[in-house]
Amino acid sequence: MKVLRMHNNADEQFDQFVKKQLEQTGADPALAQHYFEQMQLPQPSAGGSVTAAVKSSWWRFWASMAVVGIVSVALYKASKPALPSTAAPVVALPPAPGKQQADKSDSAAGYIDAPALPLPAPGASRQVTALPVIPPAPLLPRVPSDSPAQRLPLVIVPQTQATVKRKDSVPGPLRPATVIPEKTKDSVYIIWY
Amino acid sequence: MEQRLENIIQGCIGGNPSSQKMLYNYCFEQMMGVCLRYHHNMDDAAASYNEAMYKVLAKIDQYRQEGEFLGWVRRIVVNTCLNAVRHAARYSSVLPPENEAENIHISPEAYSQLNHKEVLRLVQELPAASALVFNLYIMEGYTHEQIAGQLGIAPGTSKWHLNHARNVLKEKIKCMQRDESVKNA
Repeated sequence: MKVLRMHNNADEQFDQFVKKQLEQTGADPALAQHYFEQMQLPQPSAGGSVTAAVKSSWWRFWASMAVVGIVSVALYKASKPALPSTAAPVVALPPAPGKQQADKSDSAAGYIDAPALPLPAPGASRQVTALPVIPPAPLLPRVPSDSPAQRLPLVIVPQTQATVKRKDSVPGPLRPATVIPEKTKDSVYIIWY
Repeated sequence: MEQRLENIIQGCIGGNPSSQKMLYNYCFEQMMGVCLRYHHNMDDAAASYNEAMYKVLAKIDQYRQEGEFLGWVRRIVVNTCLNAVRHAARYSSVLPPENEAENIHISPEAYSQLNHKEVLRLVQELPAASALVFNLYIMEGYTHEQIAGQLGIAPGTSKWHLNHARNVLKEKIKCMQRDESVKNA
């Protein structure tokens, strides 16, 4: 134990000596000019401090990122049909002949033109779209059998606002996010109330 | 001097290039001495000093006027040097067992004749990991736990490197003395 304490004291003495010597070390001030020329100084913005410049560039970075984000979202939305709100009809009805504006009565006999529906991209699992409505018609054209419309779009409609009729099925109310299966090959009729 | 330094700092906050140069020169001698302890040569030390001074100038408005200005600069310089050399240092997870009895003993008379340039050269010649631990412990006053946290090593590893650095220094001093006595004989 005594030996260990002696060692520790000797180490401390040695450490103090080294520390004292190292504290005296410095560089020749004449070299400062040489190395200063190699340094790139932080550039302040016009009339501002260095920090203001840093903050300003930081702000500009995020502002530009925000613009890119907004543009991207806008482009994405432009390329994708908007999801219909459950509080509003999926489609705006065209006015009946002789009317300036469509009203609810027009929708009573409105039909969706199935062949006019935008088709889902091959491999797409779902497509939501605003559906065009045509004036009352007894029958809608069938989708040509060789058309990719054999893969009918998936349609989301507000509850109680639409009924889908297929040639081979019984009409019934559609719930939101009701899916018309891809295997449906015939025309789709959506009648609005 | 304090008033002059205050004016220089205010000039730097305003982005005045001549104030920035004055501050660079003001800190150069002392802070380059710090950098030289962590690097083996002048150019590497200057690179760290320049990087640290860039940070100082960019953040100078964050200096709170509390405590000594050079103390604030020194912390930035030490951290910059630490970042620069920590990757070069290799810390083995398998270290020879620490044995106090194996410590090299040297009398104060043996090393008291050394000047600061010789001591600096000896420290610069230490293995990178041991030099780093030695500097942080002896010069910056870090504890082994703080060093371990900074370098991501175990406190025991820090202790080993400190002891190793001491032994290497003492061994080199002994060699220098032997060479000197042979030369004189």
